[in-house]
Amino acid sequence: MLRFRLLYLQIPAVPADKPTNKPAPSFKGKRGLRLMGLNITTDGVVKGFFGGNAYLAILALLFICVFLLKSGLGFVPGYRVELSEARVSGIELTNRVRYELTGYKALLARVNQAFIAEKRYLFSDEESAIYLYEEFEALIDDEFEEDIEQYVDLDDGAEKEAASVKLRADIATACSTISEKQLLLSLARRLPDLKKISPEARQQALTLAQEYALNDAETPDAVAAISTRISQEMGTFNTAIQRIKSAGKPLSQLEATLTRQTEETDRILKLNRQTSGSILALEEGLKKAHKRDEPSETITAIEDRLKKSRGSFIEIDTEALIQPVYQAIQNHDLIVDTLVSELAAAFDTLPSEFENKQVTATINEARQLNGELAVIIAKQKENINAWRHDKDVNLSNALTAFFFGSEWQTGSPWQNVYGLMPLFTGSLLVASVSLLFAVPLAIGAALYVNQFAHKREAALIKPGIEFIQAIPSVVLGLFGVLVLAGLLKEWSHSPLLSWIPGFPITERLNVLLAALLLAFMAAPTIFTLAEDALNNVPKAFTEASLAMGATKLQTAIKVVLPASISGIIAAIMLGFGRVVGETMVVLMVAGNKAKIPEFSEGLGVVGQPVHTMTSIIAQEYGEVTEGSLHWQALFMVGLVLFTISLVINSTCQRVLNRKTR
Amino acid sequence: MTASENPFKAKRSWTQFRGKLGVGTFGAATYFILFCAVLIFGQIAYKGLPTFFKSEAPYVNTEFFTSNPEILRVWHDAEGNKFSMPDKDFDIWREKNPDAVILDPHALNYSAGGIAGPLVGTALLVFFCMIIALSIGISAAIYLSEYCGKGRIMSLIRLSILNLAGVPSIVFALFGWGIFCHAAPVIVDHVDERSLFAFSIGSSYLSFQGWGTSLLAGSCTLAIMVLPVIITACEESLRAVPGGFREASFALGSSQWQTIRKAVLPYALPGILTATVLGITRVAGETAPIMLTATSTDKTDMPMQALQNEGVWAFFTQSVQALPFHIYTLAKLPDDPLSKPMQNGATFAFLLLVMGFAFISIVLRNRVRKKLKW
Repeated sequence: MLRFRLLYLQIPAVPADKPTNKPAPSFKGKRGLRLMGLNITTDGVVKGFFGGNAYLAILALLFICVFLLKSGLGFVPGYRVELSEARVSGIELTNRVRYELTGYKALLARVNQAFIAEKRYLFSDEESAIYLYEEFEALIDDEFEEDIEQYVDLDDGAEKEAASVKLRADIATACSTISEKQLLLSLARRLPDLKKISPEARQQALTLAQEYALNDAETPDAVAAISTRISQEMGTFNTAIQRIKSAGKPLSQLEATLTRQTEETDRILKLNRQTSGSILALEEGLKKAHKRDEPSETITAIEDRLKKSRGSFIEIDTEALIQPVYQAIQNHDLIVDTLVSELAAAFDTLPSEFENKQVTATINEARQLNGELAVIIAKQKENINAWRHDKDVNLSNALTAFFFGSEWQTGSPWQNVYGLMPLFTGSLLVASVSLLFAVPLAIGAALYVNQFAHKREAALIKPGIEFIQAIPSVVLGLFGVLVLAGLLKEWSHSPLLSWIPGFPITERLNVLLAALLLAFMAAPTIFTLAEDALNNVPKAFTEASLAMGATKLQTAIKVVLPASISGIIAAIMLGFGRVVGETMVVLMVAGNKAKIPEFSEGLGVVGQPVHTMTSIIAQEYGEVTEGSLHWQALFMVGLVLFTISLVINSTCQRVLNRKTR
Repeated sequence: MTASENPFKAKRSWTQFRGKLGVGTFGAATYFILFCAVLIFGQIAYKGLPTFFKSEAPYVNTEFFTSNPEILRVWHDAEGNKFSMPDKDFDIWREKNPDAVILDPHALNYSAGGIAGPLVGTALLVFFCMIIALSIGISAAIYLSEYCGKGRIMSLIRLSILNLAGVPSIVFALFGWGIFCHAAPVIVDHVDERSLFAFSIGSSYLSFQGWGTSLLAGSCTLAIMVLPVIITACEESLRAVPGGFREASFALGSSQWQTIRKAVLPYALPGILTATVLGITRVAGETAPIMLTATSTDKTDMPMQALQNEGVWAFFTQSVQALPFHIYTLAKLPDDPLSKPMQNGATFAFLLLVMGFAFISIVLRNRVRKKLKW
């Protein structure tokens, strides 16, 4: 058999003597177009195309980091210059005096509030009547606005007298036939809480309105009479408040003087800085124009502008200009000491308890503010006495002023301050409170779905919760603004929930509202990752625990959860990162007030409005000019955000990847 | 032991009760999250659905989907009745009734008309963004998974792409705003003062002065934002194709490009499609990037009209209206019950749009997972 097989396997013989010119087959690959030493094949081109795209993607992402860095870090030298200008001109000093004055004004506002509340409590009907009457007068002014304007534009003389008579007659006619219903309808649009005013007060206001008409459109004497009577009856309270008001006058005057003196210096310094910048640019332009051989008109035009710029540079002697400031500040110690003693005396004259509990509470708040003011004044006295205008401001000062500055104020005619602390605390507060709500829910859900739910149940729940992740944040923000804000405020006023600290909430848009919505957004993220982490616990753990007789719940809590704790912490951190980076919800719902929230209220701090790092960028991008310091400050904030999210993400990815191996 | 007693009956103990309580709490947490979602969805649907429908034929409020946002005029008449009418209709009515008494007239922005402009704008933005993102992203994913090896540098790059997927959208917005709106190259006859850099070519200049608030800038910013997501998802789907396919193809003598083209890509296409829909979901719902780079609020024409009237470049450098930004603007309106239909209707329309895409992506993902079990 084998022989037959071999007969079929006839290998043709290769004649040995025929020379072959073909080279031995090469395994180096196909031969393509040879160009400049490169072997261009289709495959190579395709690989190059794909590789180019990949490197383009990587480059784009690198470019983001570089661009942010470049735009942002230009901020620090610029801010240093602004801060040193503020010091040389004396604005820094004025700010300290302003800080004291702000404390005093807050105190005065509180006392005023108490005074008005007391007045309203004791003389509520008369007060409301006068209040309504004043609104009525304002309404008349609006209705007859055009006629009044025409009247005012007339020249003095017979014509004006005639017009005055006619105007009053018109107003009188309009008011004489006014009924209560019409009066209230007209006022309803201005005063949303009209229904709270008692019928007696409304009747009295109506009488006053009719008197106004009868009196030829002049304020009736009755109004002044009522006001005087009320002031007399208030007695001690009135004297005390007058004393407080007059005590603050010297400080206001000092602040006004300082503002006047330092504002002008600062303005000139800033102008000079701009002018010297443009002089440099014009000199550069002139050099370039000469090099490019531009026509002579262009060169002359540039030279003219250069001459004008050089002319507009104002030489000032900052040393001389700061002397009046030092002079004015010498009285400061005396002024604030008098203020403190006067305030103490005024508060001593006030009774410690009033009939109206609200008034007592407000006066106690005012007393507290008084104590704080004394502390503020003591500290500022030291700072002011030690202040020198020629102390250097270096780059690290500017950097600290940015990162630890406690104010963020932009677009102010006085001074633009860029401090990160209000935004950073806002972000942190919102994120922490939202995690407080989200973490228990999400971890609980992950445990349930992974350990206790049936397979089919889990197959329905998991996509359901992941579906939530796709809800756009604008929609949640709108839901918050339209529905949740009102609900939350209503619930906080209900007596059932008054035990919760911080209830009732006064601000409609606040941290708590944002935190609730953000918790809803972060929960699916935390849930997905926590569920993955729980899944990665080896089955042997669960089986061993169950074999020892533990129940499913005991296994879940005491064996599986601790085993996956690092993955769960990574999940929580990623949720935190997501919440910190959220823009639209906080922009619409968190209140937008760039001020460090008052932690003195304890847990009630969640009822306050805040600004976060993300929402400040989204809010102020429209107000900045390209290249200005404000623009660079926004990029610095973006840089901080970028760094925070990068750090959180890379740590968590490392932890999560380690666990899946 | 009597016959009726069952020795294996489970004893009811305190531990068991605690166990049930614990499981119940966790279940409650899960269903609470779902309940909140259903509540929010239901609330938005309940308030927004009436805006979609009219009481007369053809029963669907086509005006809402085909007209631009308009001003709503509100006034009282002498008896105290309230009237409201869209701006254009009000002018016509005014001409017809010059003697009608109009008291306390005021205007509510965006409270009449519809959402046609924003819808078209969003569609354009998403379309151009996905074109850019897909072309770069798929190519990059092919390169990363097929061509380059498993070196340390490449794994570092993959890790950095993954991290960049988690950067806040406002940072991308800032970047796009700074680069595309203020420093991108454009050919002009007259160089703007704020130009970063310009050099002359022929009679015009190539100036790096940016495209301003434009469709192109918005699309590019969104593309960069969604790029990490697309690259990661596409790479995953390419890796899911078993190595045996490639090896078999190589064994038959095909080059690498032929292998990719015929043995890998066709099987990775469902995954790439899923990645696309995932990307669209992410991009359609983003507000911050387009807020800074592409949108404006006072547009009366449709974007296509610029294409007809002024040309291709003008089409790409015009600012557009976008639905998410429109909703943000609506949220800032003062509280007036007459604005509510528009606010709720636009929100519901947007929610439907995005959740529709999300639903498609989830369905696709499940189908892909089920089908492709090698």
